[in-house]
Amino acid sequence: MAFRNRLALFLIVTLIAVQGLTAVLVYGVLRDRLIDQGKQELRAATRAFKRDLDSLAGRASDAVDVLALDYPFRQAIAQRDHDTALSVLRNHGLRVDASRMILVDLDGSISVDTAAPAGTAAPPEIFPLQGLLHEAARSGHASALASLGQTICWTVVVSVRAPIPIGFIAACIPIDRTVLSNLTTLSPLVMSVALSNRPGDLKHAIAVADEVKTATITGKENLTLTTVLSMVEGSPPIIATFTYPLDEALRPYRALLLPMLLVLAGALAAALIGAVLIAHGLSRPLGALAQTATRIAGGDYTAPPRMTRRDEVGQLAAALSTMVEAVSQREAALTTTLRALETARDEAVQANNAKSQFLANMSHELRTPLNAVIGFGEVMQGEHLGPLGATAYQTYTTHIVDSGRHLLALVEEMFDLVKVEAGTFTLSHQTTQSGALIGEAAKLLEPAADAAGVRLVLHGETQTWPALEADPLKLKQVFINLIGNAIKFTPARGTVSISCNTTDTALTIRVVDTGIGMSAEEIPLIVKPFYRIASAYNGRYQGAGLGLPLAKAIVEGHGGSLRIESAPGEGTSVFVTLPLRAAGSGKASEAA
Amino acid sequence: MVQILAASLALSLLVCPLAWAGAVVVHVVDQSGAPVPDAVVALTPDAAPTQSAKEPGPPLSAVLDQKNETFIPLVTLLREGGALTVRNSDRTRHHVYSFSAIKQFQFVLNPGDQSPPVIFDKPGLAAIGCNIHDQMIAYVYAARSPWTALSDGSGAVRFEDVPAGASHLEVWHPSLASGATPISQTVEIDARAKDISVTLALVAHAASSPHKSMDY
Repeated sequence: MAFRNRLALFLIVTLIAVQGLTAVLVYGVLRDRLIDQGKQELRAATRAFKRDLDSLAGRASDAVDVLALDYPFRQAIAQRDHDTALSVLRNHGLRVDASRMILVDLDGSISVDTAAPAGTAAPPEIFPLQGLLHEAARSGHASALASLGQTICWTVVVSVRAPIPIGFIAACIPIDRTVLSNLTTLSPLVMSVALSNRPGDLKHAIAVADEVKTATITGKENLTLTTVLSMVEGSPPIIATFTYPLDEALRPYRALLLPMLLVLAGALAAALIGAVLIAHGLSRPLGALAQTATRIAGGDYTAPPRMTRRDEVGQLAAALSTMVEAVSQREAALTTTLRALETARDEAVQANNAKSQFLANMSHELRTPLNAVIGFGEVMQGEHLGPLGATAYQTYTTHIVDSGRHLLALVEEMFDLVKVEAGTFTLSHQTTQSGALIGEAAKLLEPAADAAGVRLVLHGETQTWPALEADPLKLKQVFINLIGNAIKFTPARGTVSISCNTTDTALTIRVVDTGIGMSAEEIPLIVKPFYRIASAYNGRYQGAGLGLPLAKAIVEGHGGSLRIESAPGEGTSVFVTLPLRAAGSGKASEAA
Repeated sequence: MVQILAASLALSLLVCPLAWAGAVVVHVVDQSGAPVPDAVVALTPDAAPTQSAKEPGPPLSAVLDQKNETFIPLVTLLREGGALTVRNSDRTRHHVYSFSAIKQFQFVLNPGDQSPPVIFDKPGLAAIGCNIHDQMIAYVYAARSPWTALSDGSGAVRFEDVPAGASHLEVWHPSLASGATPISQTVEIDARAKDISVTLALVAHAASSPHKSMDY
């Protein structure tokens, strides 16, 4: 992600987190405070409501008391003049805002009821609120919030005396609208109260025990307080549920949320623009510097564009300039060195070529006289032209022939090696019986082994060894070299053993000796021309160090490999692996 | 009214020598056993004259006074057919009324005035009030039987010369829990002196319970 985008993203996430968290915290604190406030207001409302009810009760009782003292009314009751009583009750009921006026006999039965249908003579009904009657009989009057029929009203019962008790007036006065509307004046918010006479609500009211609860009513949050207002004998309990509109109380604060969101959006936009600008101011010069760096990588060391900035980017540009300069200088120095080295290498290659040419020429030139030496030596050795006389001459002649042959072999090896180096070394390819070839090589070296006191062992039936497509002469030379080396570096009473292992695709011949061996570090060295391990220089061992490199070159020329395992004093094992081509592959399974 | 009275007198004079009568003492106590004074005790023999030589019975006229917004006395005994005169000794007006079954009347008495006689021509109990002063109350008991009296300070009433045989006993008191309904029972009277004990269930201050109208 580009630096610019990361910076912008970081700013946006940080802003959202800070703003969001602040909004949530502020809203949460406000909400808690509002709930506390709502609880207090609800409790205050409950107290005020009860106080208002009491005040209403006082006024209603007074109003009904007046009627209880009315002389003609009392007369009508005493004389059981129900028509007059009914008309008085209706008339007075209007004055006291009663919705229903009832005249109750001393025995508790209803004698006159303004709510009864006109003109019907219903059987006497028992006034249900017997508790109020008893209270009125005892103390003259009683009142309570009660449920008469389905209506919840303030019920005032007054004893009528003339002058002894003659009955009761019951006035049913609905809760004054002003009592209810007084609730609205307690708080800027409209609190409401719902009265209930459902017996089921009593259980709930007792369960909540006048505690303020939060309740969700039609999707809006409210605080509610449920309390039992009255329990009167003969009436279901009257329960009031006061509701404080928490949702409405929270509305102004929720209204704040929109401006807060706008501020958030504005801040986000500003942050975004700022981030983009800052990042742009950073990323453009950084991009230019990146291009410069790419150019430098491509080898263009022209100085990066100048920057006058003093900030980190400016410092970076300055450092880059310094670096370009340094790299440019170093590369110039390197180029000079490289040129010198190339010249030296070319000279060395030319010199090597000249040496090879010289060696090739020399070999050729050496062979002619050597052949002459050997040829005449052999003639002398054979005493073809007459006896040599002194025995010493015969011995000398043998030395001349032997040394000549040795020298010739050396020259030919060197010649081969030069050819390998020059890439002009060629191998013939013919079907060669590997067993026969190695047997011949071993036979040739048997005298040398006997002379050195080394036992030469050829394991297995050489006739069954697989045939190879190879240059038999060169390959024989390889094994002569390897077996000869093994004999040479093996002390008396040692053993050199040769064995063969074949797979479907390759033939591996092992030449294992019990000789002086060598260190692991020396192994890669001895396959290089003219190298002999240090221990070989102690005079006991002869050789020019050409055998092993040449053998390796020949084996590799056949597509095979030569591997050496050795440790000082542990002897040496040489593994020659040659690929099996078409010829002799069929015998591979028998060869093991 | 006078005729009936005269007839009664004549009848009682006629049957008087036939009376094998005894003395009856009625003891009125309340539920705690305390004697109840001022209780109306009326003993009415089933087949007996309404007149007795030895028992004059309640008076034929009585005065109900009003002083300090109070009827005096609380309970007035009258003979059936007797006359009640109501007097206002207060400095305020009184509006005296009765809605009682045995006698309904009403009149306004100015201070110092006296009402015309109110004749109680039916036996029984009447509650009398004042429409202006609702706490005021008085009771008039119009008795048919001459053996009617108020209990004395020891809650006792003594009747002489009660005819033998079944008799109806009625006891009433203003503080009676049953209100205006008297306690009644039948008792057997013979020649010997008889003690009868009656227990009344009374309520405290029933007649003068505090009422809001006191504020008026």
